[in-house]
Amino acid sequence: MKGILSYGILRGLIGQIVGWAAGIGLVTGIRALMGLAYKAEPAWVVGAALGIIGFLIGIGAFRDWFAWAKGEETPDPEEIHEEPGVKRYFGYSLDHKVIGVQYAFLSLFLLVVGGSFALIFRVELVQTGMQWVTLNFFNTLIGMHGMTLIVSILMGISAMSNYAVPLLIGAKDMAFPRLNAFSFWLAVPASLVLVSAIFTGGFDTGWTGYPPLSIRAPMGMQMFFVAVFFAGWSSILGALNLIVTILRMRAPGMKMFRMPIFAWATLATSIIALTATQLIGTSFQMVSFERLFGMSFFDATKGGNPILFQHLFWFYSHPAVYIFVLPGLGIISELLPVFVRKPLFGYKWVAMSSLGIALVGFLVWAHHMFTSGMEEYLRVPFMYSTLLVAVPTGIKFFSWVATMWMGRIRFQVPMLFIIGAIIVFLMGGLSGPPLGTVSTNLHMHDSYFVVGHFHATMFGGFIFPLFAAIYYWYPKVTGRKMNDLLGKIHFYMLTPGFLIMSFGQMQIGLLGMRRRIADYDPAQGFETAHLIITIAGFMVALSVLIFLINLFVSAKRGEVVTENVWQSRSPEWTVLPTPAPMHNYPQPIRVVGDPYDYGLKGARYVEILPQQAGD
Amino acid sequence: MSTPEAALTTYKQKLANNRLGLWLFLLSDSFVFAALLVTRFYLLGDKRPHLEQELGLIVTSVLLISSFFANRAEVQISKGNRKGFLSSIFITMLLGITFLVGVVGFEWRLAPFGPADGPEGAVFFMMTGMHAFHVLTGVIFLFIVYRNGLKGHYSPEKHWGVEAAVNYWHFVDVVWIFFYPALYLIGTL
Amino acid sequence: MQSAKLDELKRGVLVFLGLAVLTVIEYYLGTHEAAAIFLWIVALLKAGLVLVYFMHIGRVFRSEGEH
Ligand code: HEM
Ligand SMILES: [Cu+2]
Repeated sequence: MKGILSYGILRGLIGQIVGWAAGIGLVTGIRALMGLAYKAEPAWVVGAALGIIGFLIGIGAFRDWFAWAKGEETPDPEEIHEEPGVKRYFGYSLDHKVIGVQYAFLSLFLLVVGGSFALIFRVELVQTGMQWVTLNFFNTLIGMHGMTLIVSILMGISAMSNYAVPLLIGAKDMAFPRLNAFSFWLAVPASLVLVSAIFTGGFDTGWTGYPPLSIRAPMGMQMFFVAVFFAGWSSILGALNLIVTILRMRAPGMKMFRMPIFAWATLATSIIALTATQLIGTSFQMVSFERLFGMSFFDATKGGNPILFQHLFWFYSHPAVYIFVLPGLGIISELLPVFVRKPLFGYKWVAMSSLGIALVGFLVWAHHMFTSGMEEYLRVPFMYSTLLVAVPTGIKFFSWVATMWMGRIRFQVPMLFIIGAIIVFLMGGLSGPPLGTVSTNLHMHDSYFVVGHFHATMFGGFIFPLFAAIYYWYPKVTGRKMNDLLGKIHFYMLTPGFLIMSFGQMQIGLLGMRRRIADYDPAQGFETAHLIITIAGFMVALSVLIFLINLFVSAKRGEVVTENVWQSRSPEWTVLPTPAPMHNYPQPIRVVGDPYDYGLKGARYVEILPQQAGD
Repeated sequence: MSTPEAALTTYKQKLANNRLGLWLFLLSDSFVFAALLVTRFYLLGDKRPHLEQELGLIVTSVLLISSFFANRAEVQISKGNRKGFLSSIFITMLLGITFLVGVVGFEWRLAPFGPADGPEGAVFFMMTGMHAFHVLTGVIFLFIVYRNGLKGHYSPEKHWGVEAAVNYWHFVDVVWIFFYPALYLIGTL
Repeated sequence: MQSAKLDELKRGVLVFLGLAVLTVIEYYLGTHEAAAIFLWIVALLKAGLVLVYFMHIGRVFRSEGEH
């Protein structure tokens, strides 16, 4: 028993169950004292929230902070020695490299869970009429697919930035290692609460949770709100940590304009995540309170206004789409020069375009509301601001193309995914402006065209770069390369499968297929198209399965690598051994040049400082 | 690693990180309050809820005076005046609790509507409730600092805990600087 | 050194007096149906005073100990 309990995650789970039960008991007890009968919803909401806190207590997230509050000193994170081994990955580790891998596992886990939801409802859509799920369950699956994958994406970008950013900028760790671990472990119980929404009645609003429907939805809605609220805090605190790390922990000599592009992209993303995320938390909290206390924010029959919710919600959720893609686009710019052996074209412009996208991204939210009945004078300004986003995005494309131009391209597996990312993101990007233009949007809103659009952007801007990043940094983590053949099979199944799926969605959307509905009229003649989309969807799923097998098998059997596999110039490859040691950069380093001068004679980037005496 | 100067340099680097971190946190938090302000004006426009003007002025003054003492506490510890520091923190805490009693104990009862009575009630209780929650956490934070201060923990060079608690407290005051006119003064009844 | 610190205590008093005066003005404006814009201006002034003098926002931009 003692042995098992040394795994932090198990202590956390026990804490979550205890906290959950305590919350239910607390509310029920207070209500009983007030002479009220048991009511499920308040009890479960408080239970879910206390469960999350219980998890964090169980795993020991508060231990050091309580010590500080009591006025005790705790050891410096750099001086804590953690036992090497697999066990670190199941407990409260403060090492950013461990936390990055933990994030990656959570992300992939949620990817599998959320993806399976999609496979279930895709099968239902193959034929008209309802075959094997109920209407409520179908709706629940649609909403859960959306939110589970959003959380998966948030975890995925945290995985990449946590693992890579401190290494890329030559830092020992993140600025606040305890907060870093806290952010990660906050997301774990939150994900469990999210999944619990299925078992507590589900909800029928889709991932957007619009009132007034969400005021009437079953209780699963509340679990969804609680989960998003806490996952949002995880994202906020992670972003805070990354900003401080990037601004203050860079190696000597690394001026802002010598920073790797991925650090720039992370900085831009983190600024959005830090600020905008509060809006989704607040708006969901308001709906939650409307359900619990009858506060009429959004119910028009009681004087509220549902349009307000959409404004608050999209003020986060539009910038959120850039949270999803900016790190991925940064990965593309980061890895492209390595595999093309040429300097990145227009470094400064690319760096600034991330910030530009982040900034403009704050000013376009109402393009999701053209049909909502909002103030009509807002339509045209928001149309123009939306189309403006294409400018900084275009800069990135031109830079990628110009970087590849006349390069000596090496088609290794990460590079394949980079090329796939560029192509797929182009498809997503091109389908954006027709949606951003009011006159066409009025026809395409709420259709499968939108579904095709955002799947293309998210696969191109996140999923493909994530895979590229995993293939690329895997040797740094494990000391082994992932299997090449399986990697290529993965790529050559994923890309056509995905493109068929996405184009199919866009096509039936243009023909009038509404999104988020369980059934459609056979006279519309969509059955063949839906069948093809479903088959393509299964192809995508199968390719991911192959990837996961590769991931686990290669950890034991992959080709051993010790040196700089990809001939990168980045310090984590040139200075550190492979796999990375427990502590980054035991010898101090200094940055003396620009990061992407591939193929230039005599260009230098990072050098090891001569060891000082003493210390 | 061990010389006192080296330790102080590390402390200063950490201090600068902590400062930036706290400010980013406050920036993030201010988006919650901004959202609530937007809600207030979106739903109620230029109508304001029926509230006790005198009580509003009193709690506002109480919070303002508490900010004065919070600032005083920080200045005192940086001067090395431990006694002045402790008494100022204590007064800040007391004033904070007075504010909470004023808002939650009196204003919530005196208001002619409950949280479920239309958008007025929803907006008023959400705004004051969210703010009161922050005041409460601020009081707890101050209490922790006070207790550690009693144990003799802070020095003129090293008092990040005091600075953080005090800055958080000022932030709560800044929020009220906007909430007070939004709830009590702007618009007509 | 000593006198600079003394100044800080005094400055606290002055800033507080400024805030108090602004609050009185604000209350007067609010209870006499002044235009909302004036109330916003007063609120911004008050917030500015607190941010600059009580919260020392300038300190974040001072990059002491940066490496
Ligand atoms: C040139 C760039 C882009 C433009 C002009 C654009 C425009 C739009 C518009 C107007 C809509 C609303 C459609 C509707 O519901 O009527 C939309 C939906 C969406 N877009 Fe984009 N978009 C662009 C890029 C992106 C990117 C990079 C992402 C990143 C992931 C993205 C993700 C989404 C998502 C998730 C939705 C659907 C939200 C929902 O209703 O569930 N878009 N886009
Ligand atoms: Cu959008």
